Amino acid sequence: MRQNQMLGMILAGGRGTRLEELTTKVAKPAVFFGGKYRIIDFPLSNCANSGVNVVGVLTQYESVLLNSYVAQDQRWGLDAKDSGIYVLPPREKSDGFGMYRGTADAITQNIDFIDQYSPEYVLILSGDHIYKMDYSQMLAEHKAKKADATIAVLEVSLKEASRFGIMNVDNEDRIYEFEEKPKQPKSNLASMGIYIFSWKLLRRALLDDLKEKDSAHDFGKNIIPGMLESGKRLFAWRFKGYWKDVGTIDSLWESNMDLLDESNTLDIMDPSWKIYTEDVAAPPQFIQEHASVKRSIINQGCVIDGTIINSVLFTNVVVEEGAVVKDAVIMPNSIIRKGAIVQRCIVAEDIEIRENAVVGDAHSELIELVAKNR
Amino acid sequence: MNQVLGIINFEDATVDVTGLVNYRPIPSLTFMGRYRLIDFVMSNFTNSGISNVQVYVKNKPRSVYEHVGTGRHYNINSKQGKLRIMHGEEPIQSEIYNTDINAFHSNIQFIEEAKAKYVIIAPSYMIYTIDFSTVLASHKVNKADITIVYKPTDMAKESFIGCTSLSLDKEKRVIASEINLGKNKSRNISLEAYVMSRELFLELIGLAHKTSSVYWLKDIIRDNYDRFVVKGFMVRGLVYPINNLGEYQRANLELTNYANAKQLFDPMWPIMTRTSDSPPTHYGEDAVVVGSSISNGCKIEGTVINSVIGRGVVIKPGAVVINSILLPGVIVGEDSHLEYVIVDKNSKVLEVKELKGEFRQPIYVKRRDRI
Repeated sequence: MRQNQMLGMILAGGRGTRLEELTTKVAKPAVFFGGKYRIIDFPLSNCANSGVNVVGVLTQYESVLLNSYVAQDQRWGLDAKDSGIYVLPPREKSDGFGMYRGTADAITQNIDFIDQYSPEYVLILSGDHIYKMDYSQMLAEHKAKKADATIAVLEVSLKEASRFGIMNVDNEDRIYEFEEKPKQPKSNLASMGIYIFSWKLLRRALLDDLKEKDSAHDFGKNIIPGMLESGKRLFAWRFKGYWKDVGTIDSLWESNMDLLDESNTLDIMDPSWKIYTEDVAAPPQFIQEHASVKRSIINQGCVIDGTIINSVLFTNVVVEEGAVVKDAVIMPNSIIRKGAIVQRCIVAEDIEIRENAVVGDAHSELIELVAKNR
Repeated sequence: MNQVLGIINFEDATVDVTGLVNYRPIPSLTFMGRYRLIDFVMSNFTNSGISNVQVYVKNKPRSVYEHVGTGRHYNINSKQGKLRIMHGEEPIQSEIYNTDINAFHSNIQFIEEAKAKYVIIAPSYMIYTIDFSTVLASHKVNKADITIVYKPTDMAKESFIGCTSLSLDKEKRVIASEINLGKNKSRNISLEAYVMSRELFLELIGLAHKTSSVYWLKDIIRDNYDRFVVKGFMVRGLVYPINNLGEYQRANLELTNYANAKQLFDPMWPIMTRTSDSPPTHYGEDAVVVGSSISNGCKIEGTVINSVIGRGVVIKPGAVVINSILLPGVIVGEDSHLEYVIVDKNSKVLEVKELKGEFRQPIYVKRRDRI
């Protein structure tokens, strides 16, 4: 069987400015999530679990950590002979330095890479969304409908719809119109930024777009509308399940909290669709004599002697005796000293909260990010 | 440490972790919920810079192959290093012939071909951390023929039973040895880790093979204390021998206390293992957990006290687990009460509502059982 019928390309160049200090030194796809993972583990694991064995990761903003992180492709089981994760940052070319000017441009600048594999289909993903999806089902649908492009969509409420790119479809889910953040949405099908294209067609569209002087070289703004204009067969593929763009401190906190809800549809405990990540050599977690742990998620290497309620603790977090962590997300290697109270906030990695310090506010409207020792 | 060939040796009949060993050999025993015993000696080797390792397996090699693999997760470089799993190549007439010497002998070509000047031989059932490069340095300074790693203990009456106890002179030269039968409190226990030149190792294999076809390496060394300079190298830290079910229980339970565990789990000396890609552990609304070591992938809704909980264990509401060791994948049903119990992999305790063993005499529930 031909192994690499569909190639994955993950757009991972974004900064995620609204994640404040969490993204001063790392790109948004490398931000921590869910006690153990980085955001990009989700699309990468989805690829691995869906049989998409060759994945290009397009990085740009602060990409040193992200590049070295995803290059370790054995973490996702993509290190077999015909598999691989390839880091594709912008590079110097004969005609100058080629920053990625838009999502489509990032792919255009890597046409050579994709051509090496001569895939029939290309899957375009975003590196900063939390969800589990079987792309092979989407591809099957793409083939069944003889589509030129298939776009994954999420049904949102009409109220929310004006925050998204909205697909207007006929009764066979064929897209006839795409509206970016419409004031008066005609449909509630929001684009998830997940596309399958037939490669020959996309290749041509990208090269045409390159010639357009005024183009933003963007999938949503240029490529999709262009294809619709020329009468191509674009279909919406309805996704049901958990999906979140964790673009702000609030939404990052919220989606971590979502995991504490037993009935959450992301279900990271499901052994049939594992999310793979870095393999750290930390010991098990030690829940000590004075500890109390309720409704929380805790990762390996943690040493807990305080009280943990409604919280998500990443690798190697230490919570000393008498400290209270409530409604909080504590990122790797942070230490909460004796008697400190940490609530309703995100504590970044490698932070020390000193003895008896009080951090966060149980009644705050916004979630605080604690990125300095306190 | 390119000059060293690491050899992970197998154990003799004094090591018998009843129950658990029906399903896997000693190196594959689950330890502290997420490790297998071999992870400790393997990590000691690679952290010491030894990347050429032979693992000798006495029986049931399947789980060792699966767990150890290419050794990549232990930092063994796939081109410069080499990890080999060895087993006897000749049929064994009777279990008494299943000795380390016979295994070395039937693989002698691979020991002869190795370029290393020295060999370091260590078993997988001794749990401790050691930098073998310091042992080798001391071996060279002492101009020893053989260096034996040992641990002085005051617990020889209860622990280390069946291990070899060494008598050392003032210069730490080994002059005699005997089996520790638990008569004395203080003993110098051989950890069965040896440093010697590869040349001498080959000579000893030949000599042992000629002397008796049921000899072990430790037998031929014992016969030659006067002929060779055999020195002791003392280790100070925690050492747990996993040579019976009681010791397995003691080691696991003592390590639920982080004050003990941190002596073994030093971030600068990581104990590496094969990842199982488990999610973090989920604690429920009514969970009560104290004094315990918990692995990833668990769902805990009941009470856990002073216990070791393996990967992917489920503890239902109302269940109570005290001083027990649950291996990966175990399910403890609602209102079941376990005390001093060891539950083997993937077993379900659903119908039985009370099981109570004792310290050093745990109740053992077999693998994939349903009770």
